[in-house]
Amino acid sequence: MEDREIVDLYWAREEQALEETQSKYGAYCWRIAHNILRSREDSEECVNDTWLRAWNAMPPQRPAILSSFLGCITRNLSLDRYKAGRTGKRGGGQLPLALEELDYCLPGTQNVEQAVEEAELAQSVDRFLRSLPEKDCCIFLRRYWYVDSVLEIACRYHMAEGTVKSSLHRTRERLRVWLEQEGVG
Amino acid sequence: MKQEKLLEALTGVGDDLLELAQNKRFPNPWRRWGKIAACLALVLCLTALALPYLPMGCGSAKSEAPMADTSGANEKADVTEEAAPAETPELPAEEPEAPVENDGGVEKTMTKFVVCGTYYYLQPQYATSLDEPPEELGEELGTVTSAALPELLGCTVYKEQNSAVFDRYAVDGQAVTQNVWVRTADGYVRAVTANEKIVSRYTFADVEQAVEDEDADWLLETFVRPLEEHGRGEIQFADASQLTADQLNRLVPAFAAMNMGVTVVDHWAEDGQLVIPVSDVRFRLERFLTGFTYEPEGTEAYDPARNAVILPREAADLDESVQLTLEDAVLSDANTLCLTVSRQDGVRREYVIRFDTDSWRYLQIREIAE
Repeated sequence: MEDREIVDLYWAREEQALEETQSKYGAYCWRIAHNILRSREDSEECVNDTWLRAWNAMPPQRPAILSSFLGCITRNLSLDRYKAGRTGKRGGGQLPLALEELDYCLPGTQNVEQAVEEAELAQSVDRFLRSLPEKDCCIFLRRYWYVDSVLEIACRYHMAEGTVKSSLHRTRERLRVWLEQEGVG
Repeated sequence: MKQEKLLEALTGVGDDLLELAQNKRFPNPWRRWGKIAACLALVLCLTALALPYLPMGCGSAKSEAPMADTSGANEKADVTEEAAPAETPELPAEEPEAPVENDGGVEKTMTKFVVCGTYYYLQPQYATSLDEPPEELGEELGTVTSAALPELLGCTVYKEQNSAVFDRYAVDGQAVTQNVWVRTADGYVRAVTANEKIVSRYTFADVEQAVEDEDADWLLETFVRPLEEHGRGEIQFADASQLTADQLNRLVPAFAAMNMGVTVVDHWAEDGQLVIPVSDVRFRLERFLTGFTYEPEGTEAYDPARNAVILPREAADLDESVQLTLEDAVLSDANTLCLTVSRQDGVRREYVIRFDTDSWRYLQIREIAE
């Protein structure tokens, strides 16, 4: 079923919307959650919560790209769940590694909340990504939005792992400079 | 934490960018050479078929013509015969690959899994799925013990007989990358080995070209960087059985990192350390080092109680700080690759690597005197 038809089902308050969404985007959202949480149960709960959020959001919202809309919800829910359950959790998974890699991108030591509003930061990062070559942009998003491992990115884009790492390294460095110039930090 | 804020800020990037990252496919740079090889093979076949119908003068002229003097011919010639891209007209730019459908099932999801210590992956473009057992179902390899997709856990995996997809990567006529069939709850799905079979990325006919373009990275990352970084560039040998205990201690993390990727390294992660079973270390060292037998007692990090080598988590990381340049890549015979590499400190080293039907091995690593 086309995305537009699924959104119409939401607007018509048809429960079939949830079945269609699960069928088309269940694995996609599950993978986003699982990349962050590394727990089957938690991931499934996040995906179910995603459907609920989507149900409550449409209407009034009418997302232009349904996959991104659902993915954003899943990602936010997963990050919240990750933060809530982080204490005492075992290591492993891609998120701690991704966080570690991003550590130096925001220059300065002051609290980010004091330096810049989150929305402003998001807009700045969006502009930055649009300034990148397409490939570097995709690699960066796969790593830090989808939280894919380097190997997964390498497989997805037919690249060597080292090339992916080099691209990420280069892009993080560019982002740090960009954010400095934009007055963040 | 500020990194988390940055990660959360990423949630606000445009939907179009997310869609791009999800659906965009970049062509495999090695594929174009495979296509060229295939075209040449087709031309040769057609020529062979057409010969009986050609005017006699043409055929006899060729057969009676004096043979070209090949004495002293470049020894590389025999390795490029399968593709000879230099004499093949350049193909038009490759069409972009068809976008893979959104993840909607096992066979449509790029994912990895492990069977008996070997790493496999499902690639949507090759992951044919069948309800019935495929005709080419071969011997059983084992069951999936680790997988990114829970649906694959416990599934039985079988070899594929007469594996066709990757035959063009054959060494001495045998495919080096094996297709397998996974028996899932819904039927059978085809996957492919990935782990030690990184050789599948190379057709060898184009190895010299690789030095000229960005694909040189692949050669460096695959064969050189782990040893240059973890071995601090000091490991040399003409015969792996002569390795000293000290060299071996440095080789263990190097091989732990080699070709394994983050996911498999995570598989060994435990409380900030890597706990690598001796069987895994042995599997890698003995696979990559000709004639070598691994005895763990000489390894500093060996823990007899756990029968594992225990290393810091960072041991398998590559820090990218070592600048490497691939100066030359030569196939001295059909299956032996010689890479000349220089480091930023001016040291130059030669890696001799031998490919065989199931993997590749280092024959020799030596420093090149100025």
